[in-house]
Amino acid sequence: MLGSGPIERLHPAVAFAFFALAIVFGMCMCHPAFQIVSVAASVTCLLVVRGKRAWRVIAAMVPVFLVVALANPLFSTMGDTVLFTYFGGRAYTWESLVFGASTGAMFVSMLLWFASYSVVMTSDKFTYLFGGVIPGLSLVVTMALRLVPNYQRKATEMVTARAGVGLMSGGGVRERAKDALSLLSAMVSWALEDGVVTADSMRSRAYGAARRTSFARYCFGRYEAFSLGVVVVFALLSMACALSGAASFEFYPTIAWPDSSLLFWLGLASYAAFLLFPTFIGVKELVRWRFFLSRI
Amino acid sequence: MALLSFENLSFSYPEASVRALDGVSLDIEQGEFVLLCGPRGCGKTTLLRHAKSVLSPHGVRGGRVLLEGVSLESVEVSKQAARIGFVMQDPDAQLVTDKVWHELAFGLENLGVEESAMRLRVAEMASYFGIESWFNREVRELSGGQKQLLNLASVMAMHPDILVLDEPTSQLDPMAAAEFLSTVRRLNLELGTTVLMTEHRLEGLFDLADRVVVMGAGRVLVDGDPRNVGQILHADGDGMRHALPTPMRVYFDVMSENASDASVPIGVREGRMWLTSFVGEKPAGGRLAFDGDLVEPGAQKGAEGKGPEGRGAANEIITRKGSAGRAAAEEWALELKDVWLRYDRTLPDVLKGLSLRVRKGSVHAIVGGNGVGKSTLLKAVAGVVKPYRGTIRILGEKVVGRRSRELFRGALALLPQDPKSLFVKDSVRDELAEMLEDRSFSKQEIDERLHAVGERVGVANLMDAHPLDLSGGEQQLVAFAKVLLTEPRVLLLDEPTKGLDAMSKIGLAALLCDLVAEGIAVVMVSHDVEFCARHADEVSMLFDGDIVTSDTPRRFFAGNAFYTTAANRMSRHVFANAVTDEDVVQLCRF
Repeated sequence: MLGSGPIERLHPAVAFAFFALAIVFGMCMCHPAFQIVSVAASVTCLLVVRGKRAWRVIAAMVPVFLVVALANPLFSTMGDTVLFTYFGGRAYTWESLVFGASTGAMFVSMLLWFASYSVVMTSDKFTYLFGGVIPGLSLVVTMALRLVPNYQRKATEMVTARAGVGLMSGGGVRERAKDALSLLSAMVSWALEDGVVTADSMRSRAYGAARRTSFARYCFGRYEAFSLGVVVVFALLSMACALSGAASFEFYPTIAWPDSSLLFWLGLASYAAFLLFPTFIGVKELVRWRFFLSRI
Repeated sequence: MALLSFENLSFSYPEASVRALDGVSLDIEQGEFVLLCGPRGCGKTTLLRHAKSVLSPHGVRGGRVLLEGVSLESVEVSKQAARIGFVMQDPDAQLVTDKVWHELAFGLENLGVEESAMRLRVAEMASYFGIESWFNREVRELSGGQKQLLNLASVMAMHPDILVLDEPTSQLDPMAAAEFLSTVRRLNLELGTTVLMTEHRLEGLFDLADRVVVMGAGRVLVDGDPRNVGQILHADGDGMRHALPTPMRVYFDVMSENASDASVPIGVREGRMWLTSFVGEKPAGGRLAFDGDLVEPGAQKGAEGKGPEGRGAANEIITRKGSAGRAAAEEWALELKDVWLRYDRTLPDVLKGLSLRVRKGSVHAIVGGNGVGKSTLLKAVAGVVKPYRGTIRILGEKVVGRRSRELFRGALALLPQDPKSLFVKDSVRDELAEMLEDRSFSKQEIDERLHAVGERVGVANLMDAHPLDLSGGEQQLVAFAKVLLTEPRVLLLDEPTKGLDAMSKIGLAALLCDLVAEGIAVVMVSHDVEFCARHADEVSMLFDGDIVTSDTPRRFFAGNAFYTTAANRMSRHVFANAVTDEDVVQLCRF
């Protein structure tokens, strides 16, 4: 599962740079064309990362989008084009609906980027990236990550064990609270007990005895440098175009489509090139395998 | 020069009146495999912990510990960490990180090893230990056996000269334990890594060790060749003698005065060879069968005289005689019929149409591999998990859904695999009293009951201790006492012998014997083949969610070639149906 796809195999620095930029830019760009690109790219990216299972997530985004879009005019009556009125004269405007759709698209693309991010940027990649910046962080995070499922498992084990001798929590609120409290305190002492063993195991393996190095499963080579370059160059290019006004858009009082200047098309193209980068390497890999398989 | 030596080492814990170690002198030579054994509380663990400065307990110390002639305290911590590998009991708590690869690299990271060198060492260890297939996994997804192998591998990645192992297999099932031990043996044979190990389950261990050291009350009692040590331990009688491997026990029992060092069998293979030559000398010859007719006079006498140890054998003779008339009138304590269970709609079935019946006043053992649904079966009976089809009757009454509180007062109780999961209080007394809280007893009645159960189970002297401070065996007993306070008629035990030493097992067996005599039905899930063979009335094999076969222990184990007792494995070529070492001894004398 881990590191199987082309995007999961990307160097953590490349993957993190991509997702961070995609998410930040996605929140800044308010031109519908840019937003459509972002939604489309986030959908294809999730499809590359999760395969068929992605469709369920994507399908769940449709109602999210509709609710945000359709509800916006209920809260905001700005805009000149009134579609209809309700509640004795409150206006439901076209501009507000479009603005809602734009917000919805942004929201949905954010969720989808995060869905891909959570699959691609596993805890170990994150700690690899930032372990060097904040020494000791990587170890703390990795230990904390182990504790949560450990506690969960222990809690379930205790509840089942107690149920097996008839000590299930029943009765009034007070009794339940008392039960929960004694369980919690037992968990804490159990955890402390385990903590002593863990500490022994760490010290016995020289923890704190010398300057730590850290083991990494990733290499930053030419391919990685090239990928990072592609992502950063296209992202900066689209950002430059956007800053010089290519991506500005007015919703109120009436929707004003700005003239599609060369700058706009350049910005949009580089934005698409930047966001479709993971999709591109995913599709490239797919095609390559199809091609190789057909020759075997 | 010895690799590691303890020189007249004495130690006492703060505020303890007795010395934990009392003038221990021990030399461990390069490449040796030394097995350290002794009853609980004899100072084994305290001694092992002195092999590493960071783990040495606080207290008053006398004498020295030397690593290649240099006092251990003057050896740098990082050097000690690399040269002396230490693996403890608990497979889970020893793991530090969340990923397998990170765990392997952890020690090397601490030593500040260069990245390229680290890559190589981690890769090397992963392939040597066969970890490649789960190299990228999360540690929580691993089985107990895999976790302990990972602990060993991550210590070996630091290239230690000596491995110090403190009861590494006590929390593992026999299959995982055997795999772990064979890996340790491989390290010792192929890499020449010195091994110093403690263990209380000695079956199959004597043939691994070059030297066996026995400790008692903080002193080294015996130190020598396994065959020698076996003889001394057996002659001394009590305690440790029950922990000896089966072939040795049989040999000494049969040969008594004629025993000689050279021919002592230390494993099943040697036991088999010895038995062949021994039986061959006897005029009767051939394959003797342990059957009603053949051994009746001797067997009955032996079985009756043995008390708890001989239950299995004795019971069979009784049931064989009287079973025909009694079976019809018999009431079942527990009946499962066509039980299907899965944990989630999308997950596969764990129990598949399982049916099982347990008589009142009998011990029913359920054996089988890992993950075949043994624990699930007990949980289903206790109502902790719910079957989606089938019926369960407890004491003749059909139970559905969540069990009522009343059912757990005077009818049913489940002893979980990990006794710690039952402990929530600060003292054993409170722990036990918790079971009586909702039953409107007077204070005096509660005290009486606590006292009675304490005496019965043998935890009366532990009443004021903190449950988590007790040893594994004591914890098991306290949990048992807790369960007994519900006065169950149907008692479910999940791996009751896990982590128990030989003496504690005998105590447990006696307790079971008592309970059964009172008409209580015991259903026991266990990996402990020897224990089931001795103390169960019926054994069932659970496989692929269903009971494959149920039979008396003798017929059950005699029919198996692999899944059977050491006594049966060493004797099956000359004797039929001999399952316990007493059986083999009797047939040898016949």
